[in-house]
Amino acid sequence: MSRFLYYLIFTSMMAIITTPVPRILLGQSADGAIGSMLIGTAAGILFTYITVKFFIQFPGRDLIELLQAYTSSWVRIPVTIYFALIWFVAGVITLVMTVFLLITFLTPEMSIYTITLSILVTVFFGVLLKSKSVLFTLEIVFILMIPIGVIMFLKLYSSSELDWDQVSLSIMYINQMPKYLSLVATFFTFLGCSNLIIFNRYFKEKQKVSTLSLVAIGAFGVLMLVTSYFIPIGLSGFDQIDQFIFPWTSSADAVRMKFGIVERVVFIFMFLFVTIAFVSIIIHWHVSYKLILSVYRLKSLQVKQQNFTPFLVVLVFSIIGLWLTVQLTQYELYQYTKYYYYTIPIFVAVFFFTMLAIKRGASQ
Amino acid sequence: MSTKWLKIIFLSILLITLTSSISGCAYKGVDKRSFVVGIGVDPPKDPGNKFRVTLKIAKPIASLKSSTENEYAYLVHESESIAQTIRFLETQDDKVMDFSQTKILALSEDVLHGDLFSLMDYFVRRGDLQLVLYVLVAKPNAEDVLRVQPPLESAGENALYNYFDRTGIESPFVTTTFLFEFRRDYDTKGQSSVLPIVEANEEGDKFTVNHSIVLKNSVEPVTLTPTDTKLYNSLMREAAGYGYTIDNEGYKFTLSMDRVKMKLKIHVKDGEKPRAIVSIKAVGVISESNKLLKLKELDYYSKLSGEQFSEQVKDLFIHLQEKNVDPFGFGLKYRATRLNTKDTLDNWKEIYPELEFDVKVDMQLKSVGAME
Amino acid sequence: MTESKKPEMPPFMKSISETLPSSFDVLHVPLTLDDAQVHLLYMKTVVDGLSLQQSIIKPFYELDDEQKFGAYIQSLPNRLDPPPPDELLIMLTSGFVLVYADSTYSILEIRKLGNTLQGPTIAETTIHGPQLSLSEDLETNVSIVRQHYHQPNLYVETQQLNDKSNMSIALLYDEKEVNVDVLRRVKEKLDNLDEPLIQSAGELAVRLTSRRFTLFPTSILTERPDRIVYNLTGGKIILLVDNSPYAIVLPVIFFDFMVSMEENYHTYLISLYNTLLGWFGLLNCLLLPSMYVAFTAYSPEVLRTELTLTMAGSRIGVPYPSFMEVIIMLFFVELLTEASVRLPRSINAAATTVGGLILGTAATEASLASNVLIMIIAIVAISTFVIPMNELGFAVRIGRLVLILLTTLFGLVGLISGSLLLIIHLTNQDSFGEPYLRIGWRSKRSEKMVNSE
Repeated sequence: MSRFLYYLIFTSMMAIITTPVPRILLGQSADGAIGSMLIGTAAGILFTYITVKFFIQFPGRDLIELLQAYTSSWVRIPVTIYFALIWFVAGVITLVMTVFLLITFLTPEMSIYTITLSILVTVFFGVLLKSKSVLFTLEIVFILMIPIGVIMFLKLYSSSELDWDQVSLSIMYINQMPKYLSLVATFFTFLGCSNLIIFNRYFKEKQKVSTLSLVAIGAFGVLMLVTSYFIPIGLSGFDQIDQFIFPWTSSADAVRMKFGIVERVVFIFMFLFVTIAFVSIIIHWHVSYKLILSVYRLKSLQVKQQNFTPFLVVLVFSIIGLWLTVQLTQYELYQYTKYYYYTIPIFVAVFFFTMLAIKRGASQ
Repeated sequence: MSTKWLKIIFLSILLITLTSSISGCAYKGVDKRSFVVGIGVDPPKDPGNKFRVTLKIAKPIASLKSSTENEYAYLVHESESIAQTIRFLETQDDKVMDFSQTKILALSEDVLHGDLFSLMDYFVRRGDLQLVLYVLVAKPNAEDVLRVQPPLESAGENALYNYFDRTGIESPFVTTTFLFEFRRDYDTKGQSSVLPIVEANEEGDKFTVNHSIVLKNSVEPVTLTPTDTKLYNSLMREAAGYGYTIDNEGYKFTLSMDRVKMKLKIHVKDGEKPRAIVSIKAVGVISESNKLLKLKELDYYSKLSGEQFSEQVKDLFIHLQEKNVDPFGFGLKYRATRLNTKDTLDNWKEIYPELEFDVKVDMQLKSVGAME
Repeated sequence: MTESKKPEMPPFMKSISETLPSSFDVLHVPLTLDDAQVHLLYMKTVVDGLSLQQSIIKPFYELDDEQKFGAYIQSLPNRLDPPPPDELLIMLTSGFVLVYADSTYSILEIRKLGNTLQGPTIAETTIHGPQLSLSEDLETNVSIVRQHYHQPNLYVETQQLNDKSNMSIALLYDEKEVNVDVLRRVKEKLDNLDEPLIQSAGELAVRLTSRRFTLFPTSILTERPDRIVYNLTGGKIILLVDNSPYAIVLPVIFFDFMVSMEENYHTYLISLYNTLLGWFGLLNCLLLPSMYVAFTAYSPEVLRTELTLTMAGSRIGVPYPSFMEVIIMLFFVELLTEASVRLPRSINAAATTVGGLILGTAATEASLASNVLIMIIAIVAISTFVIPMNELGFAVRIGRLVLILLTTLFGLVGLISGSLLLIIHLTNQDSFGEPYLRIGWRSKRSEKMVNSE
């Protein structure tokens, strides 16, 4: 598998920390979260396997191209728009969550417009990049973040403040029935490979899915889930973990580097995950933007050789993002995000249906 | 080319609007902030109020070399709630009050009775307050403790920090409890939190930190003596150091421990009394003795010390059990080692008063010091 | 030789000579011995007189036969058949001699060579590497490269720019390693150049870039023969320009700018350490000033208490906000750097001392800037010089202003946002079709990465 595919998958796994997923999981910690996580992980790996396997059959071709080639337009257009919507919302959730995080912990006095704009400035240009450049950006950021991530994880796991009794207490709740919401939230973690619908265009070489790569993906996913679930429990305690709005940030603040220039690990954490969130928003919106452009391109925006539809699309994205960030309360964000996660099985169904349709079209 | 132009125009419009509208908003220079380094909470002097809050504000020093001692400003006010008080105190300061560097939360012993929820709520709800701030119990009251200026404290330093942050003194008598830890242990069913007690002397130039206090809602606070504090720190926080006195079979040792490790196990069987098996491994040296010691009898000394040590530990456990507090987390251990059912907690509440402690100490004395 | 005896010029030469301006250095020299007659037309200032004397005038009087001399001229290695008149005129201005002998016209290259002296390296100095840079003469430079790189694959293509300077340039590449697409693109660019005047390699490099508002250079200018060869082996194209001691290296990726030649002359660990030092310097340069703004104005909670209080203390009495302070001091350091570049070497040490030490101390004494900031600015200034390639240093100096601006507006988030924006800008850029910033994994030497994928 191409290394870029790993980046896509790993980034979306890391980005869950700036989505409501950890809170959803921790909210059901006494209520079957662990079982759901186990099932969700298995389902996620299976999904990754099927998706990658499917796209390997069409090296160098993205979903847009495949839909155009093998399906009729009454399948293509609704499916594309549905996917565009799903990806856009995924980006918006990360955006709103990141802004809330920043406004609570880093700059409480700053206006919400300012914070959102500061993110959107970069996201705007990031989304407009060529898909290839998006991958390069992703790689650079990913590699720059590795040392910081490793330091942080080592620090978290080795900190004496981490109470392993709390962790094992939470494991004792394994006998609860898995819950649907936690399950889909976990499954959402593993959706990174679905970005292939656009980025497969750049994976031209014939690839293989080896067991090793699936193990690697599974292991990383489990590590991220375990970290995002057990570290907050170990640091903030099991009994009241569901009271935290940002369980992760509040817990990372419990660890300190005695001799570091930056004493509080929480800021390293924020730096790491805000950056990952930036990239995650860029990827999600980029996919969405490419999908929209494939069905909709305004001729009236053609000025000389330049079509301004891309700018319009991204501008609309940004404006909706800004509007939602300002409008939504934290409660609404969690509520709507839950609804979004509830619909993920529909997304998977549509996704597989599309794959089947393409496959049938291709074999004819 | 036109793409680039468009981008540039877009950016410049954006920047112009932003610079004009926003830059004044959250932009607060570091010299326009006053950093609160300590918060103290006392009972009110006027019975109509609920809390009396003291803020210790650091005054930035222009040149560390030319100034000899720290200067702090203290703001005191009392009212209905902590938030109200702090809002009021903010009006007494010409600069923005910045709580992000607050490291000390001193609570007077008298505010610790009953449920601490309303007291602690403000501190954990505020996002900008560090969760790694040190919570301590102040004697005789929080304001006096914050006002202490030890003669050894040099400019740019806060003596109280040095006690707790483990870069200065590392004494087994000092319990370090962070805010998050305090909250975690306080709220966990089956564990109690422990706070250090800091005593200020009457002249206001000296601290003594060697007691601690065990807190749990619905139970009266239990004060631990210096010896018990030291035992607690060695067993739970793996603190090490001097001062473990052993008096057994005519020998009087003072041990100095290198490391102490404790493992808990809880055995509950039908028909038997529930037992907690505590195995402790301790490694140390003898630093003082009343008799001449022989190197080859080190094992014997280890045994003597071990017996005495296990008795001390057992006494502490029983003492805490009688007071119905659980700073060692037997309850948490119990809950963490069996699958959860809805009766687990209730079971524990029945088990704990009857729990028997089975303390096994594996004492390893490595040497008798520099001479026999 | 008197005026009356001067023989008639042959008609073609006459027409050429009439189109030439009547400046003092246009010479028509008829040589006559007995009945043998030969005409030379050349420009004195660009022709090597000694060589002319040796290879043409002297043999003429020794051979004393027009036919023999004609054959001799025909046999000369630097002889060409005369091209059409307008091209011929250009050739005459660049040091060719038009010879009329034995009723045939020949054109001989007897150029007065420019500055063939190899000076010491100035812009990129190393301790262990070669100490001499390129000369200012194209042929000498090509021969220097050839001497460093004995490979039959080394192709040298020369051509002339079609602007007013008509400068000759040479395109060097290793035929085995070079990326054909890039080569084609470079040639297209060269042919389509539409500039009235190009005088130096630096200018040519700028003109070859299609995007005007790019912050980072898309080609390297180097004066070091070893860097040229290093890049040739990496499959890059080298452009040598006459009269310029710099070569242009194309295409480049961002990491090429972080390679110092010194690194090739040390053991692995030492060069790794040096590379890391370079990167650390780059980050310092870019981020430190904005971090100062972020920490003093928006997020003092990130740093330790002691440090925050020190910074607050050192800012006591500074009358303007920290971003103004940073911008003013940065500007001041930029002036200092520029001044020390412009000044002769013997004085610039004095300028740096006066500017840096005295003004810095005075600024803190007068509390116009905080101590911490002075330190930061000094670190930044030093770090700028750690970056191996000068051009990147310039780009970084502008880039950090953008970062300061964003940080001033948005605080620490702005800094993250701005750094990402820089990365996005870099990944979006390309150098002659090669992505500018991306990580090449297959070889540890980044400059070899042009061919892969």
